[in-house]
Amino acid sequence: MGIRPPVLITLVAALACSACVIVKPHQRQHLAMPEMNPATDTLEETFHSHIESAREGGFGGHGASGGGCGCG
Amino acid sequence: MVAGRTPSRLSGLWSLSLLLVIVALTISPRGHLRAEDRLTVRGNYNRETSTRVLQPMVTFRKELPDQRLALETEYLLDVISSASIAAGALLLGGDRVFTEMRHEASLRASTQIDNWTAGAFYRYSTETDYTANAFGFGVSRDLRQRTINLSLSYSATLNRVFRITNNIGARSPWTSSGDTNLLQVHYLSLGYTHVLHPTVLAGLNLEGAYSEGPQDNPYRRARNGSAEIHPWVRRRLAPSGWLRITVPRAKMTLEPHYRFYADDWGQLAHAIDGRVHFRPHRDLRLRLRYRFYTQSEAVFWRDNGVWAVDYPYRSDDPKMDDFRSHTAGLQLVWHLDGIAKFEGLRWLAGAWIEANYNHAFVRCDEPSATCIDQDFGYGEVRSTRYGDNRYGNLAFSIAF
Repeated sequence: MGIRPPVLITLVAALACSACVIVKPHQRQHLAMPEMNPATDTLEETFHSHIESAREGGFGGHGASGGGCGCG
Repeated sequence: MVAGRTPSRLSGLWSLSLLLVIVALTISPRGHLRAEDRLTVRGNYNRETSTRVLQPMVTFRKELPDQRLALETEYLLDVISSASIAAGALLLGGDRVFTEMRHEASLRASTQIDNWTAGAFYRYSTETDYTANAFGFGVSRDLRQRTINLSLSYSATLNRVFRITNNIGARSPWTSSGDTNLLQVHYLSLGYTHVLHPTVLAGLNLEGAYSEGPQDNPYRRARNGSAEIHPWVRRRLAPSGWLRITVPRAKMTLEPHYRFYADDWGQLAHAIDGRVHFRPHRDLRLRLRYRFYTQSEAVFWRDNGVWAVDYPYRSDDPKMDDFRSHTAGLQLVWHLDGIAKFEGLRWLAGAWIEANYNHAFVRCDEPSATCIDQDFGYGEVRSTRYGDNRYGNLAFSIAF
């Protein structure tokens, strides 16, 4: 029996919220890399959101609200 | 109709004028600009069976004088070339290739003070049969020594939908089953990001959207010949989660994403997007991507194209059918700091070049008007009318 998506998301959220470790500033050199920064991909994510909104029923997951044309 | 077009045009001119004024005011000789300012030129590309989209765009960011106040302005042009195999082609002048252009101008402002970040934007978009005004704002706060970030954002888009009624471009408002051509979309997003470990970052998002207005294609007809009619209101919800895990010894970063989607049109969707970043060289980043997407059909979708006479909805939109897709992608980013140390090339410090390519393989099972057997060059497969598609971009960004 598989885990239903809402249950999985709640489980991940609970695990994340329970992580009480404070990562000090001097331990963050890896977190400062572009690969670890979601803001690096903003323009690309907006483009993907636009493409998907024109071709798929679903939306979201890109941290952007997508484009504004009726190109469906 | 004419009265409705004039404010849109004025609004468009106002947006473009504002854009030009801001660029003129903020561009000054290079020696006076700060290292945080950035100009990015990007060319997006999308190609599928019957449509090709070229999308050049330019983004300019200026910090005044630092991240306490940043302004960003953007201009985007969508050039859409379509072989008019879709219904409505006759209306637009026959079965031939036609090109349509969409102009979009955006202005964004953001501020970052202590642990708070806030931003707002305005965006105007216009094409022959569609105009959109969008605005929004967001706020976020860092907590627990910047280990946690909470964010909230809201945006609204006010669209006006028209229908071109002859081949010289005359248009009339498209009201579908309602009494207005105004399509309003309200979007709300909640975000939570957590540094779990010096090498692990996690995030959760909950996005919701409420749309009210004409949401069908004014030109498309269902298989029984009736105009396409979709429900007037749509409520959508999309929770998602992601991780970024870096493995320093392997110079590799893993980036899994998952998104669930549900709406009151009866559609459910899952999207799994996995990315792996490599650093073969200090200045070179390589990213491989695989995305799996699947969706169920809307409650008013009919594979056989037959609806009860008194049923209010009709659709020939492939997005309403059930299908799945597999997308493989490759991205290369070259940071130019390595060559910026040479005399005459110092202006390239902080600059980068990006190339991106994705190929989506779209598959469906039950034959219908939108699910048909086709050959994309690698044998016959069953795919939606949009078919397999390719998209990507080339971008160049320079810091001042």
